[in-house]
Amino acid sequence: MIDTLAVKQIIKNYILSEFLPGEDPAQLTDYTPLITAGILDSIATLKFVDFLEQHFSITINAHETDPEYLDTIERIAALVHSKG
Amino acid sequence: MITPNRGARTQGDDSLPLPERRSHAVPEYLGVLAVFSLLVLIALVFKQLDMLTSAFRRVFYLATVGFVLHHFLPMRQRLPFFVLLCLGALLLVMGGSPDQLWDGALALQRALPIAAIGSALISICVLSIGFWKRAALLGAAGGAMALFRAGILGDESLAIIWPVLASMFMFRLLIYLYDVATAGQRPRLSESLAYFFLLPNSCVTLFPLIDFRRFCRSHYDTEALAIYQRGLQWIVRGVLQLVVYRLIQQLLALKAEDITNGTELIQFILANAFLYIKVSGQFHLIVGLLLLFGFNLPETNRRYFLASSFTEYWRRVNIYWKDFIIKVFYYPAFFRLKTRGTTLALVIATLWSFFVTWVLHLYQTWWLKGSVTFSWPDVLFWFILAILVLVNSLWEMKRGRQRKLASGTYSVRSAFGLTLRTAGTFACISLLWSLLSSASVSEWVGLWCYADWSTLMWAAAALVAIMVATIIFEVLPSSRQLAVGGPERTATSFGAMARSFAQCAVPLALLYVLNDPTFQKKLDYAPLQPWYDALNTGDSIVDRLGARSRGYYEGLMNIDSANAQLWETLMRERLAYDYQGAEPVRPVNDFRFRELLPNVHLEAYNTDFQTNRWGMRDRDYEQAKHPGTLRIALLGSSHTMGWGVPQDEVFASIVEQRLNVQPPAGAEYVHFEILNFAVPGLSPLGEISLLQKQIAAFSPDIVLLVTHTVDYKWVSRDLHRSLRSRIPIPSDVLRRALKEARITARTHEVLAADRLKPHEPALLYWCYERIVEESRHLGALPVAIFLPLPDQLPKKLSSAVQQTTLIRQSGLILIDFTRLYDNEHPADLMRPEIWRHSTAQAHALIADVLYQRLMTDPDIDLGNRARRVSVAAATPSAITQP
Repeated sequence: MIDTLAVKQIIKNYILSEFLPGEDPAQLTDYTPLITAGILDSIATLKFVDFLEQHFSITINAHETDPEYLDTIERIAALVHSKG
Repeated sequence: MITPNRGARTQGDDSLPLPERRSHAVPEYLGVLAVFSLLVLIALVFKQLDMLTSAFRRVFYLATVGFVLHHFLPMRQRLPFFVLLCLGALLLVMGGSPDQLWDGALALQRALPIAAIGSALISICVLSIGFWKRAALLGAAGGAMALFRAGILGDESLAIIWPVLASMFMFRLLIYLYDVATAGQRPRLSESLAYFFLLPNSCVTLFPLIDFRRFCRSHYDTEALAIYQRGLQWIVRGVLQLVVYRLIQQLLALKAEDITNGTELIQFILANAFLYIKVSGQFHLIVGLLLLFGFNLPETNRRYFLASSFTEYWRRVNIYWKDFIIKVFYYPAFFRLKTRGTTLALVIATLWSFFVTWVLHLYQTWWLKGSVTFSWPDVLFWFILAILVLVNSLWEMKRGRQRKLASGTYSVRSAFGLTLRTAGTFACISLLWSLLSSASVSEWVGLWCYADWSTLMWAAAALVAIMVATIIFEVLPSSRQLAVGGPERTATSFGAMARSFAQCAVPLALLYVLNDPTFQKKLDYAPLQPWYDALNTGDSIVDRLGARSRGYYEGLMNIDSANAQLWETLMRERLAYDYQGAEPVRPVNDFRFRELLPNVHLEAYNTDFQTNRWGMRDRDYEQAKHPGTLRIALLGSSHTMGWGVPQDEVFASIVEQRLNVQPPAGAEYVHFEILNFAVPGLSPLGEISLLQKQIAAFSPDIVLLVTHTVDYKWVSRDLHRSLRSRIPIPSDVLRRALKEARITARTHEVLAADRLKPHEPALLYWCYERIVEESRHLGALPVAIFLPLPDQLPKKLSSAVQQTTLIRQSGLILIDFTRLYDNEHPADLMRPEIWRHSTAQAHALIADVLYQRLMTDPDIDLGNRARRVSVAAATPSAITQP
């Protein structure tokens, strides 16, 4: 299993390159709200889920798109681990 | 699911570490006191501006007191206390009655079924059976309730509970079931009760669609004072949005049929685009109130008129609804279809989501209003919006969308691009709203014949204003803070609290002062009058049945005769019941405003109702008067027409028959005709038009006007209405009254009536004089019956004395019925189910006394008049007047 820090880094890199190009990486912390702040809107969430499924070979259910699971890098990493 | 206190936070609540309370933070008691004082100020503003319903204001008072008690309770007792407060609010609202302050028995009779049915629905959701079995049980329960809502089952006296119950359960039940099914654990009872019986829901039926998980998760997820502060800001924002709505509604909004030129066309389009602000304002108030009880919920709307794309508009305009649709319909559809290709899944999921949105809006309308009408503008609105959002989604899927994390990243080029996109989106969305606000697609298409250069100029000005607003509200703030916002971290230091307090208190105080009658008298300038009027047009007097604009949400939020019991409970006033049913009238463009349709046969108030070929509720007459006929033209309103009384029992028919059977002495060869020209709602002003347009051709010998005390009001009502209908005003007397009272076409009728009150005697006198002139011009004797209604005396005795004096002074011969009911019981003479109308018994009494007066009144001198007609009949050259 990949360790949590690595998972977080992969997720952070993807979000920065795909959704926040040109933004300061330091501004994106493990606790930055993603869904509730509008970075992960519905279209971005679909893309992001696709990335998570492909990259970590996991299956994410429709109800797991909730902010409870995807709102921060911290929570996303927890979700990925729970699937692992 | 709810986190009872900070020490017991669950997994998933890790993203927003709680800020430590700093030593310079405001003490909690002081912060709570500041919030409480602002809530009191808001309550004063509500009262002074007559905002929302009486029920909402009472729930707000309850919430204000409840807030303080709730805050000082231990954390684990707060949620049960909130549930008690919600149920208390339900009892408070349901016991509202026009007749007394609060009716406990009525409250229990209504609230208990709501609580019991609601609890049963919640229980079904948490049953230990499969998801689809629970869904089927809920479907069956919903079907049974639909039979009650449709009036097929159940008691009419409990009709109020269905829209209230529906507003609590019709959507939230779907979310709740979905969340319970996917969470894998049963929620606590207090969480469930709090979620469904939410505090202001018993008095507001159009309610933001709060997500159950978020509702539970957000409970005190950050510092209490910070949540309260944000709640207050939203309540104040809601108040301001409702005031803006009032100004737009009163100063700008138009109905499509009222448009006559290019400027009014753009006025119609723009005003309708902004009217949704009422929904936004109400949602801010509701969610702001919930924040005061620790539910740290997100915004419901976010500057949706500054959206720079259609997808962004969809994301901003009703955020809770969008979240619901995406969670329950969009994502499940996409995840099911994504194996067939992302693009196909996206297309089908998007179209499916908008289809569901349209259907659920109809479903919502049916539950809240009790009926639903299919309309093409509605279908087209959702279809076009679906296509626009779909195209935008495909674009975003392929090309991505610019998102911002840090500050100060707008270049001049990107800012200009943003303003252009925003203006373009606003233009398209405004057009769509104008379509939704039109009665039909053809009406909307027809509007464009008014488009001209002024339309284009005003449209360009509006778009420039939107671009400027984009720079002020979207671009500039991004240079100071996170452009993508997120939950605002509200500081609880002295400085921040003081700033927040001032931001809330200053606009509220300003509103209070601006709407203060003393201030308005001091700053008494005619150009300010429309603004004062707009502010003074409170929600209890605003047009409920004839609002100046028309649209889905206007219709949904106005509680009208379709929900009479709910309206009377929330407003604590009796609803004036107009005639319900097919109206046998058509509009006319003069002071009558409407006339009866000819040859109509229907049932009204359980009575047979027929009109003759001339549009009179009477038997048929030839227009040309036969020789030897004495013809009386009877003028009046619905009372004289005889609403609810069989035609042959209306006093005019009885008197006519009796005159022909028992004519005055020496007039046995004369035929008497009383032509009943009465029309519902006709005022003396309309009776002048009636004389000129319709009666002249019938050559009456006597014009018999039936006038009531209400004619004072009706003359000023019709004078004001003539401004709205652009009917030329024929006299300086009338024009002067309007000018002195500062009445314009847009002044609300209640305010206009109030300001025209001092002019009423002069206006009514002018009408009487004109009726005398017109009658004499026709060669007819002008006579007036002053007929108060049985329940009006002796309260209106002084008014009656004044009115009879005016009648005499104008030259009308007076038949005074002020003392007609002295020996009668008013209850026997009024039909309670019809507002201000007499029974057949009262008509018989009127007929009896009127017959006697016609026979004996020396001024009318019916005997001699009949003899003259009889003699004239023998002379062929003098048979009839042309």
